[in-house]
Amino acid sequence: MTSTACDCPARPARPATPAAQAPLVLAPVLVTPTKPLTPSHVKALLWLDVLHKATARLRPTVYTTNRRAFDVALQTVGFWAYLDERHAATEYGDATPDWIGARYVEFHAAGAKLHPETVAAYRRRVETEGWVHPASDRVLATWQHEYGILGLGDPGLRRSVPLAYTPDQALARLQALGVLLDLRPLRGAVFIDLTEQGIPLRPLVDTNGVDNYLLGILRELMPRGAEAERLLLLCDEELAPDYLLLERILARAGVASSRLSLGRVSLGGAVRSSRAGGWTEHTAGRLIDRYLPRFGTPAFRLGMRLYFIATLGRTAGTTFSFPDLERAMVKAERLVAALPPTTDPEQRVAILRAHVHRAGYVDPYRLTSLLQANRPDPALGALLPLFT
Amino acid sequence: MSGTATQSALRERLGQRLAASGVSLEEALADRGEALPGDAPEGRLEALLIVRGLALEPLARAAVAFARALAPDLKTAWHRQFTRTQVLAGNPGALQARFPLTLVASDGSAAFVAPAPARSHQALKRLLRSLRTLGPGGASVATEVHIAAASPGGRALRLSVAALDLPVERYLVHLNHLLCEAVLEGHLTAQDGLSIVHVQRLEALPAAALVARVHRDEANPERLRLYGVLEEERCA
Repeated sequence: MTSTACDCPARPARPATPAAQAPLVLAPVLVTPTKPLTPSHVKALLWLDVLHKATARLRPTVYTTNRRAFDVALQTVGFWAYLDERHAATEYGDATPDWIGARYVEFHAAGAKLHPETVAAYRRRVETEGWVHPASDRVLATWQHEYGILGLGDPGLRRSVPLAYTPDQALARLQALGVLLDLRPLRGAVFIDLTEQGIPLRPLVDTNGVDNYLLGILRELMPRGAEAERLLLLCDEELAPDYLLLERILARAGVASSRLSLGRVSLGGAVRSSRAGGWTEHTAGRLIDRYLPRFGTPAFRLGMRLYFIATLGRTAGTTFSFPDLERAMVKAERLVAALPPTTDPEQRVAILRAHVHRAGYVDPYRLTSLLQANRPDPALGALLPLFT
Repeated sequence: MSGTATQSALRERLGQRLAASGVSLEEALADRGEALPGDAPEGRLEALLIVRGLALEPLARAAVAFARALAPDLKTAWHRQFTRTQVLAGNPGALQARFPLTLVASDGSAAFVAPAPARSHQALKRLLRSLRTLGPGGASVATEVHIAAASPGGRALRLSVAALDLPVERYLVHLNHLLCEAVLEGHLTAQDGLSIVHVQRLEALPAAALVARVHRDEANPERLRLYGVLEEERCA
């Protein structure tokens, strides 16, 4: 399957802003399919979707995603190995993402060290066959269904192709770029070395020869980035230091990139990784069950965007609140009823142009916030197709 | 191989070295380290050795030059504190512009930072990691490495090291102590020639040892082990 991303042909260059015509390539961190979608994931997906749909109206905007770069990550193959060891008899056709997610939390709580050979065996299957564990396959199927309900474009959720570089090719490239501290001759680890820029050494391959998730991303993005004119890296705030590193490495490789990092959604006053659990009442499935029947598809989709983009904002400061989400749904219901469904593309382009971030994408926060106004301009009806 | 006799000779030798720093053998062994009683940790001197690889010849030359160039007061204080040195992974070339490295090896593979209270190294250490390897990592190291030729009036010295079975960071700790202490104790002068010879095991302590590195056996903490000896080259 090829990417289903918008693959608009380049339009003839307009004299006004030539830079706006260069394709913008979106490189999001992919969520590992090991649990249901939690509010942090939903937030990131909604941001990305609005960003993509809005920006694509102004310039060619495509995704570069490859499951495999993330499936080879330790936390994914490690979880798969854990399931096969502890829950060998499970039929995943009947397993719910909630049950699988609970096993994922268990796996992290157990904190068992993986044998390098086990990691290697699972990775071989992923690398050569694009294999996905049946548990994750089940999770991906649920996500696809939920993407449909949420009105999210598919950024290439199941797209898995061989990684552009082998680990050795990526390490050689990093060496050539002068950003590698390779202590393998001493039976030591391998680090990304940007200490020259005041950035601490970042481990890439451990002393057992096991590489971490960052190498998977580099194997894909160093060569893919070179094909792009501008890359937008999207990650959650917890990964921001690694993505800063990535941006610097890509810059050395001559790839222009920018970063957009999103804060996780705090639940009950605590910002936690999904591996810590505590999200069962807030999954995408629960939110759909709770609001979709009451508000109907257009208002539900718009309400989700108003809340997760405009109310929660980019950072992690605001705690998730059902009453606030409900207020956003009510507001969305009114907007859908009140705003004339304009389809005037000129009007839409004018609004979008006014909200282009300097990194070249339409800022989802500023765009969505327009609809939060007490008496939104009727012209904003032109935006509804992007939000519903 | 005479275990008991060797162990007691090693104890005696270690006791002498500890006494030079005002520590009794009993205290040191009970403490399982080389802590100096009454020394607040923040006041402890610590040198840094930063490596991006293992190139013995430039490294050993750099260690000797580094120890020789220290200010006299610092020499005394650091020696008293057992020439404590932390071995870090890092590329000296990438750090030079931001940090005052005291001495960089001629090939850039290693660098030293002069002993100072640990907190003064914080900014640099935040960027680096302790060197940690799986060991034995000395496969690339030649058995015998010539470091310096003797000048007129100097002696030909041989440093025998039995530590290549250890991870590189442990090997470097022993080697660095041997070289720095040899310099600080005046046994390795600018006129002296030096060769490093790697051996599997050093059993007996030679009577004429100028410097000996006796430390807990890393494979068997109940025993002491001889990791290196500096002595005058015997004529063949």
